[in-house]
Amino acid sequence: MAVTPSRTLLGASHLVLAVIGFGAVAAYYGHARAGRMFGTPQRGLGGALTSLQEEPTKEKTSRALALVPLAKPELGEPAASVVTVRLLALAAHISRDPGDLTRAVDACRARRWPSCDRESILDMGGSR
Amino acid sequence: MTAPGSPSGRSVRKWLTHAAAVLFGMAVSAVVGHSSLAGADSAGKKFERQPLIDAAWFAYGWGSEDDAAALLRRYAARLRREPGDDPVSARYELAFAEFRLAIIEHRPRAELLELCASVPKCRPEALDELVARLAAGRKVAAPHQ
Repeated sequence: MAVTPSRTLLGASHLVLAVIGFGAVAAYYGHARAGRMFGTPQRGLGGALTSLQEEPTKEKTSRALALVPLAKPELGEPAASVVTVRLLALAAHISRDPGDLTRAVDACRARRWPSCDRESILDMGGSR
Repeated sequence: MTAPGSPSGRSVRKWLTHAAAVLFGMAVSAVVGHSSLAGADSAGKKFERQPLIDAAWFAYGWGSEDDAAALLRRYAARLRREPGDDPVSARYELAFAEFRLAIIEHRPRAELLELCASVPKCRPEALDELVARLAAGRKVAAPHQ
């Protein structure tokens, strides 16, 4: 049977419609997938920490720090405080900002850790 | 009733095939999406444990052994409570966590050897080497706790 231009056009429109149908449902599942992976603050924080290990940036660190208070009820102590020290030390290491450094030193001292001087904090922030 | 060959019959058939094409695309996407949701849940459970294990190693490296031990205990408890979709890997992870906890808590060698037996790739003759490797992760010279 000869393929006429109108049949080709019809086939192409079916393909486009199938792709639209696929895309609509894929968008829904994509949203649901992200919800299952990072749907709770603790899961979000875990994702942020994993991402920071791969590529640490100031923005990612700030976002992770903002998640700590939300994750704290589930995370408990000392986890929340330790993660805070880790993230503040990383922020100080990246930005070299005196304010970040002071906050990291204070958080470290609050845990009564043995080495909370500025140099140690910068070393902590630089460690993976 | 509309005759199949008539212009309106062709129009109905055209719209039906269009709807079938959309539904086909949606069905394929739903099958792929549904299987990916199960994987996402499993990944989510790992992300949920990540802050605990991350904090445990950070505390051991730079902070206090007490904090590291408390965090490892919570990590192990969570693994016991929610092993996830891969119980074999969760069991190994739990064995590692308990072994590391025993080292951090400076438990007797006999107990370490006993735990070593349940840890994959842990050979009793290499126990000292393993303990030394773990201790090398501690960056601060804290007073023995």
